Amino acid sequence: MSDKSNHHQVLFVDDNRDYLEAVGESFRLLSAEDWQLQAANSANQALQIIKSGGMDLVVLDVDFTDGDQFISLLHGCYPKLKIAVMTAEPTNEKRAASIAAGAGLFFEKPVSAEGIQSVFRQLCKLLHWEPSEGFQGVLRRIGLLDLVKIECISRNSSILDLYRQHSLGRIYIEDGQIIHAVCGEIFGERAFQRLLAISGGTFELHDYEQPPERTIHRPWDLILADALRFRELAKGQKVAGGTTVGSGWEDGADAPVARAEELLICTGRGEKIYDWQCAHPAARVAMLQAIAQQAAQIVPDWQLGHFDRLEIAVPTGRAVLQARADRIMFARFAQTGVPT
Amino acid sequence: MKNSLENWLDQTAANDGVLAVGVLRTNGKCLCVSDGGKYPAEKIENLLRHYLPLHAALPSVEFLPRWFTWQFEHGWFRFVPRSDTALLLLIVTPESAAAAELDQMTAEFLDLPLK
Repeated sequence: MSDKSNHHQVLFVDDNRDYLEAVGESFRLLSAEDWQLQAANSANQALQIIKSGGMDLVVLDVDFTDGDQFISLLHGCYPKLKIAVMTAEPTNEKRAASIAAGAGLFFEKPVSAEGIQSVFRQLCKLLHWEPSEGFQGVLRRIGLLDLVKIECISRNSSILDLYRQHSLGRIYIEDGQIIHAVCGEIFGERAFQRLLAISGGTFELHDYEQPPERTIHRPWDLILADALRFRELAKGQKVAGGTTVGSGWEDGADAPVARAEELLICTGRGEKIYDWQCAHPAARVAMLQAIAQQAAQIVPDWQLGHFDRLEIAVPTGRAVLQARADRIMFARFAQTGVPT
Repeated sequence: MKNSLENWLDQTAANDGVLAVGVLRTNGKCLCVSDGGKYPAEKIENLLRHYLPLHAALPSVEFLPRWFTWQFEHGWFRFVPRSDTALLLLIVTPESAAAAELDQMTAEFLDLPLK
């Protein structure tokens, strides 16, 4: 390994020379030339460079190298070597297989300046990550879903405790099968789905002990597939609604980006103060007044206090109507994608 | 023996911060779980049945909703219509754990088998 803590030897393995040059130069600049970069365009060439010693990190394109086998080979022969995997077409299967083979980081090939900076930050974290007892710090390396999958594939028996400020729940895995999960008052598969979909948090892996009961009976791969589908559904809700933006269990999961598409502000009496990209301000003002009146009538005797806002999630984004005594504001946002 | 919807309503109502939860089923029947005090079942059902006039001011083509959340000082009301016409109303305390998990519960409802 490199002697100087701030200087790192980094090897990029990819058959696309132009991409290597462009990305390599970017990383060199971002690291203030602390990274000494080398490039290889074949697995054999990469091995020759690694054998010469001193390499801290290998970043390889899993699509062109022999993928998981090459990662396993590197991980087996050079256990202290940090391995990051990139791909132009990320999938959950590729990610899980790469992590299981020994990669410390999996990311989509960056194609923008922002993407390169984001990947650079994650690679820096990986370079400075030191293994420790237990699973403290594992969140930087793999996601909860991947960890459960690895435990199941390895036929391990373990307990996963999940936290966010306080205890959220617990997952029991026995001989590679998910047999019990609890999340607050909820048990079984629904609890498992809930735990995997929660944004933000940490988890710890503990030695196995018998659960108070068995509440999950289906094979682990079916349960994980359902949980993944459910998580995507929940993510879609969050993207549309934008009420919750968390880092997720997986470090580096960026928040969706919302782009304002329309803005209208008027007085409480409906006189327009300001509009931006509002095609029909008069119709909008009428709509806002109607909704504000509706809010006043919605639950007249429920002592709910003042009406603050109405949020509407639509397939393409969301709209927010905020009503005050002296002012009504309407804004519409479009979801512009979820950067990786 | 409770069905999946009844179980889900019980579990959802048990979440910290959930004040009431009700579902208007496709057959027109309504199931509600609430504390019975400030948010009695008949009021929840009444709100569910007035879902369309409540949102009539919104152009339906432009605002084909995944959900609506009416946020008041002391309670948030989330309406979630399903494609099979079933409708959910969740009432939660603002800034509570349930408020933070509204999207989660929404996703669960949308994924719930209702037969």
